[in-house]
Amino acid sequence: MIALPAAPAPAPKRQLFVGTALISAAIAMFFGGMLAIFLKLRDASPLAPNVTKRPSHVWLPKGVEIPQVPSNIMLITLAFACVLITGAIVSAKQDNHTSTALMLFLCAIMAIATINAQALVYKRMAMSLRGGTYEVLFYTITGAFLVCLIGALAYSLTTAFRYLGGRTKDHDVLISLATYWYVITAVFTVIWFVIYVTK
Amino acid sequence: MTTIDTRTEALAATEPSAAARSLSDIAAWITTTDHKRIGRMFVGVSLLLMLGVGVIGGLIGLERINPNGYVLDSGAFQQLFSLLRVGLAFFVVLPLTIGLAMAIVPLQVGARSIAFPRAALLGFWSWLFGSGLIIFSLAGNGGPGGGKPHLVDLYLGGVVLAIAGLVIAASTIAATVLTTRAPGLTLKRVPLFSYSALVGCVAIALTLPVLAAATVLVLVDHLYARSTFGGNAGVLQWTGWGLSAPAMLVYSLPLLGAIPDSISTLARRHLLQRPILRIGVGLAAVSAAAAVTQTALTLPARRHSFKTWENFLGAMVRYIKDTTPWLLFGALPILGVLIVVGLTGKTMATPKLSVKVLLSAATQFNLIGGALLMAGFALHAVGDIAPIKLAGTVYEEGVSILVGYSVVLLALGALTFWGPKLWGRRIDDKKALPLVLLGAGGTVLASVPMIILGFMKQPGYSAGGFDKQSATGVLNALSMAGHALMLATVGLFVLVALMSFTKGELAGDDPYDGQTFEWMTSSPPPVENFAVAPTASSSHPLTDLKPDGLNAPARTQTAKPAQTGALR
Repeated sequence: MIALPAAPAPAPKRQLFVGTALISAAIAMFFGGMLAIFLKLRDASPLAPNVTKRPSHVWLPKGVEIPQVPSNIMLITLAFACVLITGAIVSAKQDNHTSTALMLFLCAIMAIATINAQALVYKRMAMSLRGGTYEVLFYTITGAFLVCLIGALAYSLTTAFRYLGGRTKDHDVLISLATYWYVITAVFTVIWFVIYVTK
Repeated sequence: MTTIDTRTEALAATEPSAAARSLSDIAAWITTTDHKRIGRMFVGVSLLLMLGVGVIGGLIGLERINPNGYVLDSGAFQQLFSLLRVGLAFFVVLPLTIGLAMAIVPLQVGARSIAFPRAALLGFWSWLFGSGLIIFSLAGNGGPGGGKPHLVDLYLGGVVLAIAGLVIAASTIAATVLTTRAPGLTLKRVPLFSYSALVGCVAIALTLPVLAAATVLVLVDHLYARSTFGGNAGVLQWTGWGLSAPAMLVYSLPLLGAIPDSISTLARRHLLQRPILRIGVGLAAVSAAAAVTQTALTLPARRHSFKTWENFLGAMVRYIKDTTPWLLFGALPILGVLIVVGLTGKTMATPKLSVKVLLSAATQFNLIGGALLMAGFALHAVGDIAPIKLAGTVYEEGVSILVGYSVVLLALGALTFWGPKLWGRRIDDKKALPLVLLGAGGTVLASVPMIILGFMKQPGYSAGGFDKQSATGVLNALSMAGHALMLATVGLFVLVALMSFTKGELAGDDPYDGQTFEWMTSSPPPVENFAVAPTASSSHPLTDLKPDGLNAPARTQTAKPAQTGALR
């Protein structure tokens, strides 16, 4: 049997966007599960605020304080990254290649800035991972988020270099990247509220 | 000037040896991005692992009937039990459903390949490597309750790796249905198997990450602090929900649509009430996935007094508050499966099915597997009724085995039905049909005694704490025999399939006079599936292309070369 040469395949419909959306949803569920365990253990703690009627920070290890400024800066940085990636899509639709590439690189810088702020949080809190429940939960949740941020950084840089390489008509990649940024920003907003605000 | 040496000895010297050719074949399989090969690798490995699960089920039964304590080392029982639970979920049910969907769905939707083929391959290897780590760690006294801390860590790492692989693989299948459908094949026209694969894979991609989250937390705690999650003893407490019902119900969902799809094709008739069937699949998926978030929810044991009018109103409100969550999360999934199985039955009954089709192995595997799966869904709901007090008994184990083995039967049915497409040869029906009875008997025997023992309050996850001499001993022995039968079923099926797919009768491209795109291409299909891009104008696109529709005589040989893109 001799196979005939294949005819050109029909272009898939927004495949990268759908794939990114599915994986982003899985990431959101991953952090949802972790935060649910964080809340469950916080409520079960003998130092939990609803048990003792004391402020919630009492379940933190002794002498540990969460630095508010870098954690707030992280949220603002991520929100700004969302604005930038939206700007990149608008610029791409207007065929403004310079602006699109610039915004993509700025997105990557926002990811680096957020990683830097997280490192500062770790340094100031100076907790040992072997300390106990809170330390395990804090480092695992924020560490897993750092992995997602590194993913965003790599994705942004790859998209930027693709764009510089001349693939300027491929808007689906930009929209997929934006979806990923929106989802991880939403995830961080919840992490920020649960871990850094209500502690 | 270039000269060409045409002497035969020179040609022989350049020809690769048999060993080189085998190595090249192996390398081609390892690095393949062909969805059919990746799907077959998923299915093949999981069927082999199913043999191991059957052996472990038998060994656990042996421990339970042995009156003189433990046959094996007492610590080994926990490892065996963990292997049975992890094995059913991660080695059998998930890879079987995902593997079959990966092999068939792109063909059904008329796609040239699966979406993100390299990701699909990564998913397979990640799952296989993770499964290997799980088996290695459990064999070396790791895993839940294991005595070697490093192997407990390895077990947890293996679970995370296997989950990552399965989520990636499930996402590629869902993305294939959503993005690579042939022109005209709207979601409403998608074959039921592809539809249930889409819904089921999305449910799996949303459920498994939550299990991964719990596992990662337990792993970090076990590696560094051992302060929160109970060390090695707490592993199952935090991650065990992912290895039993209702999570098992979610894992079975991709195969739900294979029942109506294969039976309607074998019967050569269109499915009745396709929109209702889609609703049934969706209902089962949404409510089963939602039930995973409500594992602690039960139907409470509260007495309702209806004696006076005031009491009546208050009692009614309390009654509705008590029963509604149970109905939504426990009973609603049954309705979904009932719709699918019921409408398939109605399609078969109007007009009555011929005996030849009714007594084919594919029909029987699907019918019996579907009925047993529905029973699994129903028995899970019964287990959530608090007054019956089944929590902590072997009841839960019985339901998981029932669901797991039903999925195996459905997978064997799917292999019997779609095997001719994937391998180009038919499975010998006379040899496969007795295996249906054997498998059905094995499934019922392995699970039903456990369910009865649950009502008799035999403790779960334990080989002791109950009277081994009386009726419980007989029921445990029956369960052990059930596992042995299931082991024999899968082992014999693999042998029959190997013989049939290598030396069996040629199937032709369209052996069932099919209605959907997969029967349009050659058997086995070329790497890129279709030479000519198919187009759909209805939910049975291939029937529309045939001049005499469903009234055509059975096409045992190939369709037109123009359709298959193959010259004979």
